[in-house]
Amino acid sequence: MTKKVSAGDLIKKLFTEKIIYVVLLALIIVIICIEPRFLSIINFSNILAQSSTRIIIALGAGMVLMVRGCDLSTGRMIGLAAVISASLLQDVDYAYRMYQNLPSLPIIVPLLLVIALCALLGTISGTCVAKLKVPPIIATLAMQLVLYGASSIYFDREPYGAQPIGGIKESLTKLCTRGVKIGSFRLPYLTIIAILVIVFMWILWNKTKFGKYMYAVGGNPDAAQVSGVNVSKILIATYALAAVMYAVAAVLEVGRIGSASNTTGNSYEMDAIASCVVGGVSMSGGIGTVGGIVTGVLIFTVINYGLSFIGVNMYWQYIVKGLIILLAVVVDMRKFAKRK
Amino acid sequence: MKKLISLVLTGAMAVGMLAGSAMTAAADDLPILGAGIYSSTDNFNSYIAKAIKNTSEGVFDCNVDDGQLDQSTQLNQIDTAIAKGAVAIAVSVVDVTAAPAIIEKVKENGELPIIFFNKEIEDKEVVNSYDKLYQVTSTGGDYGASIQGEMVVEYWKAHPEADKNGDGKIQMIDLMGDPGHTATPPRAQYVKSTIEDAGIEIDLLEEDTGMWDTAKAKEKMDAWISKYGDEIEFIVAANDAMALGALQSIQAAGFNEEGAESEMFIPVIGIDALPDVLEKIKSGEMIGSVLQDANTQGQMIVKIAQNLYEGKEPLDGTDFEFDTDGSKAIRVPYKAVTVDNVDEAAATYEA
Repeated sequence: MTKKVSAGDLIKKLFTEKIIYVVLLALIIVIICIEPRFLSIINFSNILAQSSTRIIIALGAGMVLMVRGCDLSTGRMIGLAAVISASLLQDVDYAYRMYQNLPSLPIIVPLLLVIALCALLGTISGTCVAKLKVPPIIATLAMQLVLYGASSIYFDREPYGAQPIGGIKESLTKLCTRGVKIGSFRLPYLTIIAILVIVFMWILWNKTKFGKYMYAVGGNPDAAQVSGVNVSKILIATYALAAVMYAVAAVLEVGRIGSASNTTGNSYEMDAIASCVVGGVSMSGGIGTVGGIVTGVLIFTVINYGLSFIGVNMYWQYIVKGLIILLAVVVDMRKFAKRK
Repeated sequence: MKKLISLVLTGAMAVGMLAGSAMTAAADDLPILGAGIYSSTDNFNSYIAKAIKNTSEGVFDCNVDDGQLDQSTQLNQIDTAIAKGAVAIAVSVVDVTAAPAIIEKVKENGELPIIFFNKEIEDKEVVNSYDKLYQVTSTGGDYGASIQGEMVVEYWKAHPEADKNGDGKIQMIDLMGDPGHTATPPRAQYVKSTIEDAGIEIDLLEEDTGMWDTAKAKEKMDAWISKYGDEIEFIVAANDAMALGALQSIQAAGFNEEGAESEMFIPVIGIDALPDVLEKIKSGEMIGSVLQDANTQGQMIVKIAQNLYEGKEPLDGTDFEFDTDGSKAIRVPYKAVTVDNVDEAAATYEA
């Protein structure tokens, strides 16, 4: 089906639905004009590395948005998973280990442990929303508080008290800070992991029954129920799967940062939700794509990284980010209004 | 269903209250010290809290509340402590302007001694509005940054090779703290002024806030290390969490991998002397940090409370004296931590 698109239509589309990409492009051009060194392979590699864990987190948070939810517990769940996995992944020679007599564990053991824990926590949130009909924001707000308390208790105790849990074993920190050399380009391992997650999520969203149901529940829960979809089951599974994403991201964050504390993950949910919204996920559910979310994350990382690179201070960065979110939502609402 | 849930909740609350009262009954032999920190997210405050708890053993029945960065929460906690029968109150206030309200509370409730720690009440009128008010803080208003500056100067003079481009200036990166925090502006100012007072010029490549946070500092540093690379001659971070983030970032770019023996090396210095950082100093990956002595501060807080409770002079049996500036504060000095005394600093974590 070939459709003739006039130049006028294209420009109109660029400045309405695709305005976010125009803004991104404009930002990049401004950054390059001020600091031509921005156009280097290392910067590209860094932006990919910094986006990787965020993509995994945003895909989880995006699933919850898709089913008309809003997960406020994202950051704190990452925090809890981070302190637990960090405490189990300290190098045996490190002097300040939380568990002095713990043998060296392969990365997979703490990873599976926090995945199981987060899946359980996600199931609880999902059950509150699906069965007890608690509004998602309230259910996950409650979860956020509980998780912050729990991770602080776990973190602030003998023998070393409230110190960042450091001395993370090299196999993990290397995995999360190194990459494969391809010529002069370094493809971060983290990005490879993120790509695997993206592929997994794309298949799940687009090629499975679960994915179809997820869109259906998000689009219109009542209609989905009537046509025989087990809405509660889909909701619970969505929250649980999102939590699994957080667990994976948490372990990778531990390796990337090299330590964890009870502030790890703080307000990551806001970054994730913002990226989803900018990437075209509708706050009213049912609309959104894996590709859109990935783009949304990349946009924010480019802003973060690029503005730091040219030496714009933090305060202005907040203003730029805020305006971009606002712009994205305005575009989203217009799309939604048109559909109606 | 709803009724069942509310019934279960009520039951749970009743059990909780019974358990609570049983617990307080068990420890009523010791006088109560009502202590509170402004936030448990502040590592140093948590450390003082730990020192207060440890020192209180056998002297006071003491529970340290977390003000959660919220002044009204903290005021409620102080009310609760007084209601429980506390004989003295010790707090690091969330907001120093709330001190008069706290003083009012302790005055009205049997003139309890009040000890402010960590965040100093600088308004002398407020400080002198009440006899039984004392303060325990660290030395000076520089929050350890002068010592950090001296350490930079010392390193710079001892290592001529650190001046990579030979221009006599330090090409420096400064990672500042959260702009809303009292320690942020002084730390950024004093470290630079100390270096400049020693006659060394600074070429400040970048200066921005890392919000005290490892991940945020790392992300800033990722951009800067790719921009400047080996042009950077010094990285100064306003706390160790950010220093660790910066280190992580430059190591990924191939710097400081084998510590001081690395071919590509950028000296990194922080403040706090976290255990993780002590290891990095030992291995030569970082050149130093500054220790704020939480143990001594916690001990002094409990000692003053105990002296006042027993009707003695506040500093009876200690080596400290009050500052002569009318602040009624004792000032516990910061310590420079380098590879030479790193084990000494590590000892503070053993207790």
